[in-house]
Amino acid sequence: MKLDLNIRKTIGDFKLNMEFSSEADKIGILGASGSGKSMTLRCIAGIETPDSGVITLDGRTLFDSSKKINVKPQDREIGYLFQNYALFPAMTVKENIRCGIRDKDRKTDSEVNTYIEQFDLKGLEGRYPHELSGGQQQRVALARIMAGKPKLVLLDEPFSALDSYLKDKIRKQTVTALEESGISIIIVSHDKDDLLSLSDEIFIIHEGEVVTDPKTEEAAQLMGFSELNEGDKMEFTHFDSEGNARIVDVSQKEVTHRVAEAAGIIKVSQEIMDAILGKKLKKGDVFTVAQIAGIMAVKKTPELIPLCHSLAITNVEVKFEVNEERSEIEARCKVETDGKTGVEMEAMTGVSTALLTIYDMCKAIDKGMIISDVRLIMKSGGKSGLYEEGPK
Amino acid sequence: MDVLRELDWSPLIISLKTGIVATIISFFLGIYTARKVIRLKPGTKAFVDGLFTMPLVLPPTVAGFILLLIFSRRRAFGMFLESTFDIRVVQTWTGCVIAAIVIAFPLMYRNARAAFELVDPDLVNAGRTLGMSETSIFWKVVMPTAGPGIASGTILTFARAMGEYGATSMIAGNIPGKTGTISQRIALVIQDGDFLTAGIWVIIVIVIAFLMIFAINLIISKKSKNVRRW
Repeated sequence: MKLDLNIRKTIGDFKLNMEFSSEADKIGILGASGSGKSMTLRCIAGIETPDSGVITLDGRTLFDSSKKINVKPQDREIGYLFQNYALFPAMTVKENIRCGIRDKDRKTDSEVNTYIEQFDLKGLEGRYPHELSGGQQQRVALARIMAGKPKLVLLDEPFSALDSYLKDKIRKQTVTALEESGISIIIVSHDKDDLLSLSDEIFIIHEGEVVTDPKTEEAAQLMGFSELNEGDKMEFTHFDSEGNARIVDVSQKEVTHRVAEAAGIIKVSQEIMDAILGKKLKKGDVFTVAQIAGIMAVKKTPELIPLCHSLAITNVEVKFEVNEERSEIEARCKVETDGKTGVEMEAMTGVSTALLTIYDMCKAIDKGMIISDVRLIMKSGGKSGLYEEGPK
Repeated sequence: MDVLRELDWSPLIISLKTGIVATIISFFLGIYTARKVIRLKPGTKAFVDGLFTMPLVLPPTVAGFILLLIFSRRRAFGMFLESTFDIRVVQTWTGCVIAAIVIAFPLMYRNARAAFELVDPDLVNAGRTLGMSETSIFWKVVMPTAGPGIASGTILTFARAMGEYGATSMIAGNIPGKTGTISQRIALVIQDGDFLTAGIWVIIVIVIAFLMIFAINLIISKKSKNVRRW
């Protein structure tokens, strides 16, 4: 799905100024209540009209104020799951679903029954919405939407009306139902857990706008961080794409040559230093083993760091530098790849594991070693470009 | 019993006919107007609403006076109607119906409007995103949901239309067998001191009114049992 949206709407004091485009099949919009998320969805569905702007979906213009285009909601083929489900109260489950079928020839009992079965509503066909539980109501609403074979389904806070103990179960059911159907979705929520399981790309919105500088406190809080240090150069977009890597679609990212180098220090006692340098350790050559450990760790990083993408590593170098004066060993790990995501995590994991291996091999002599200063010293490639560690 | 046998039943027929026709017309007109009015901007809405509600608060004789001004055969519009369409309103049954509509319409309109305003707009929006036509949304979703309000509006409209006296007597007169409604007959026989006949008509009116309300209440409670209210 390709969605381009650039709309403005003023409602009293509130100004909506949304601009984003995405090719993800599952878009998440995260924002506090009153941030304009629902209004954005309503504009996409066509049940609210923006003051100005353009909305295009898969190349089709749904709204364009300058060309006076405003496709009726009936003709947009966009399903909308309302927060309260908006089931027709005077109709049974069956009648509700029948209303969702757009094609007159398909308004048959057998067609309705396929949706009743698909959404596990058997036995409830004759019930009225008020005789159903929240989860059942949601399934009816989804069945009714799916019966219309929409191109896109908008989910407005789909789980907020459910009891928390039911939420997870229903979230799973919904995810399954939507994935089976293969229909594109946009989901709006104030709860990041809703979005993590249901979206490929997440936009954070605040006071009617997409947060482009995600350093804002609001964005941080929404993502589950209670506080942000002002001085921290915390890259939230990066966190968003890396930190939630499993939910972020990187297929559109550019393949670039990426290099990352990390370093770390282990402080050892004089006794250990002598042993290592004199190669008197029972377990063999410390540096060779630590080097192999570092390389292995680089290759296994995606298995260790949950949200890290799996990459084809093209080169790994693990080196050690001994500073006898300060009784320190510095490990350095340089990783290279041609990929869509960076290799900083690989480099740092490599360094950490190399240092831990040194610890492991020497702990028989003295357990008082200190591993410190594990850090990224440089990275290049990708959107954020070159990074070099500043002078200490 | 002789009284009953000799009773002229025409007022009953005329009243029922007037009531039914006026209710049917008011029903559609009221729903149509209510649907339009709720979409107006607040200022215009207040004005238009005021205009439509006027007949409810004005004395029926005022409505009768205005109707006479409009439809009098000695005035432009009345003459035009008679010469072009051969329609006469004053002193005819058409006059009865028009008077009843003018007086009873506000009840239908106001009840329908109140009922529509209680319908969750997202039900309509849901219908739209599901591809249902506006007409289909209105009759399948809005009307059943607004059912109780619409039904009570209909009862009140019928009751008011059937019992209309003031405006009817002014525009349609009290021509026995033609425009003589029950309420006009009661007034007439009381003037003659015939309390027995008046009493019979009073009982008939009470019975009809009660049966109507009872029947429609039954329909509402059946129809709207699935719409939850507080």
